[in-house]
Amino acid sequence: MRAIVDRWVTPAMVILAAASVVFAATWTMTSRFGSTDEFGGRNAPRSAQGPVGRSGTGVQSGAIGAPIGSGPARQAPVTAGGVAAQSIDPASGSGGQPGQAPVARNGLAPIGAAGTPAQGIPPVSGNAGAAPRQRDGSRQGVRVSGGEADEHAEGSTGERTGRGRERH
Amino acid sequence: MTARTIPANRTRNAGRLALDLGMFAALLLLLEPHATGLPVHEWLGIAISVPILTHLLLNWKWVVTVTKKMFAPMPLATRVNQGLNTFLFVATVVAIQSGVMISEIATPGIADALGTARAWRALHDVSSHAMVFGAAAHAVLHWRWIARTVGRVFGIDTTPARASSPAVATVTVGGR
Repeated sequence: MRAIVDRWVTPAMVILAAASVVFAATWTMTSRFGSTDEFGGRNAPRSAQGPVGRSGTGVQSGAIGAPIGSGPARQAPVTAGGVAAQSIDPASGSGGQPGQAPVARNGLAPIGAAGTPAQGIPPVSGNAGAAPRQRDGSRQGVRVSGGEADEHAEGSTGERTGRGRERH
Repeated sequence: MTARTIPANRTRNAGRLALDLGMFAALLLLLEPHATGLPVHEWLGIAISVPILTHLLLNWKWVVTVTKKMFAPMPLATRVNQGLNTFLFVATVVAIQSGVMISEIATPGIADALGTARAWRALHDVSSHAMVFGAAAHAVLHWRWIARTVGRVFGIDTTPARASSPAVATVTVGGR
């Protein structure tokens, strides 16, 4: 009995223990560094998705949302309206971009200028400005100056970027 | 090794050889999931852990001997073999583990639930290729033992394979 234990059981336990060490190390490393959450993915913690914009200040979104291989985010040319720029192209590498709330001619933020929640869901890029809401709540008749595509996003995978869109 | 011990070892070596060749064949099958189908790939990948464990147990004496002499002077070939075997062990464990994590049939949904499927998939790609590389190198380093054992099992003259070589010297450490 003792011979069997010495010959087979103990070595097997040692081997399994060594395998468990490798297993635990891999699990830890993957959980810590390999989660898509780290890059602001769909399951990203709220903190990784960017803060919710405050009224009149626009949105700072996706700052942490850049996936692997992407370069630094480029500022979104958000126009009046204070709606956060949203990226639409999954081929790019940066998340949503900060937007700035417009200031009305009277110096006050227009109605509806409250920032929208951060759009930090990568892989997205390209920034589309949204038409500002008018005081009557509509968006018509306003050309969005900030809706142009960021054709040359920086970063190693920045060749393909999102194309902006205009909302009417 | 004397001629008297060869018959006594023949059955044991034949079993070891069959085990090793079977493992190698299974590894080759695991290389191409599209050829075997995903269910076979997954279950075979999990099941191969049993012959691997058996292989280690059968060669446990070598493992203990070399590990005890880890910090002592030892032939370069043995040192290389030790490093390669360690590498192969880690790659194998990671490959099986990551395969279980990204499994869609045998143990579905683990990595998806954790939100780490992409990382596990990448890890599986890397570790499985490393495992194949390690297994191939392992076979090359023990090629003379393989040839000699095949010769003995099947009664083929293996005289040329008995010349000393790094592989033979490595095997000698464990008395294999």
